Amino acid sequence: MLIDWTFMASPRIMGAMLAGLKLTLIVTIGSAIAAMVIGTGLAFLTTGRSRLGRRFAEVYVAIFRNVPLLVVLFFIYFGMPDFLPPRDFPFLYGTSYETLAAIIAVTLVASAFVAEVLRAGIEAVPAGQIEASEALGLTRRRYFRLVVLPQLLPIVLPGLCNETINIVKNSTYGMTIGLAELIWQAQQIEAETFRGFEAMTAATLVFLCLNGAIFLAFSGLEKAFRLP
Amino acid sequence: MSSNAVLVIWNSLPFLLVGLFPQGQLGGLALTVILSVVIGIASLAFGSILGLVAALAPSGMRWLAGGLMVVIRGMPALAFLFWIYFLLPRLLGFDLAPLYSACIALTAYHGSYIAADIRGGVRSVPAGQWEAARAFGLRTLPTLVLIILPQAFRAVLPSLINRIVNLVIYTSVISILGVLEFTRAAMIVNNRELLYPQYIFAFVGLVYFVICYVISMTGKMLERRWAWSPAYNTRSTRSSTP
Repeated sequence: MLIDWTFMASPRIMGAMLAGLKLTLIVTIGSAIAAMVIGTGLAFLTTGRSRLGRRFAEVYVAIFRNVPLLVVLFFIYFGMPDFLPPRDFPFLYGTSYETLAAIIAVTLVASAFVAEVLRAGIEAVPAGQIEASEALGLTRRRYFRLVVLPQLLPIVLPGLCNETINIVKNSTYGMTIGLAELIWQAQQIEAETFRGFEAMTAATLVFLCLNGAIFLAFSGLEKAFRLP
Repeated sequence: MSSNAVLVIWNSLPFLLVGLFPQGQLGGLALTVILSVVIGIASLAFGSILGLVAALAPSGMRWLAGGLMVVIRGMPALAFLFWIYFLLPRLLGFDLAPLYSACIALTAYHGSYIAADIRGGVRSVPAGQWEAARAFGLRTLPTLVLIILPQAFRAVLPSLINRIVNLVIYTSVISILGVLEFTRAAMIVNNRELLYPQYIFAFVGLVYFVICYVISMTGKMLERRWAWSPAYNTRSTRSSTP
């Protein structure tokens, strides 16, 4: 028999999956919010007028798109204590340090990709509309709010959906620093019972459901913000 | 302090670059490059076939290929890697070394992303091209190879380049299975020294960055050279994961 379904439905697996899902969700939601904020800032910098800002955003995006998340994660996890001022920070010894390091690393990488999605969206607005809104006397802020934003959402939502799913996937790398998320839990079950295949199948199913739910949520948003 | 870090990296450089090579197994950056090339070629081949099936095959096979792509792309690379790692021994009846099962898993994983690109590219070629080829008396296979694929390939070139960059940086996943490639070598150096983690991983990140930046620039050059294609209007933004 290829797979033991009764073991997959056992409380041992169910409990582990729930515990893992909790941490996966914490990292996902934390990184998703932070990445949207930082990514929006970067996208404004890239499309903005400040030369220095553009340069900074370009370098940031180039770095984090071309370096493996795993390396960023280790850099943050092992290197963070050296970047902080030499004082006693209790969180460095706490159990949530892994969670924090994972959120920071995933955010750094995801924000570069979110920035690219948003930049493509902002640049997709035709230049004639900038000229038209200048002719109408709109300030830059009102131009963004009234002209760009309504057109932006339908363009960038598919990309943002992709990136949110990628944040879920990237949160799995937290297992390498001991973050007890879904894959880590499955590995733990494998170490205890040698039933790695069942445990990993369970974790995979949870991920498929989670990503499916995100996809459906974004499809709903896309429908709601579709241009008339 | 930082000059000591440079010294540490300099002393471990042979290990980082070729692993234990002259005495033992080849590893380090050399193994990462070999893995990237092997998985790159294999996943381009697998992805092209899957993508063509998903775009052109009769509806039953098309649905099957499309479904396979959706499921694989819905999983995290790490989950898929472990899943294949545990699945293969049950299917084959014997244990497969982590290196080989990782190659198979990453080929299928990146292949299904490439397949999605190829499917999009084939669909982006206007139907008029098929009709014109038929009018000239070309059969299906020559039409596909001579007319459709060159245009489809150019249309998806930007996303293919992004995919290849992703493929290279995410060979680092294999380190989690204990294969001594570049990231794993860096972890071992870091565990041995425990003094300069930020310098060691910054160096490793820089090496990955240079490799991937060169690939991206080569890709941009190819794009400019081939920019005349009629189907060439897709603007892609890469997504972050494998």
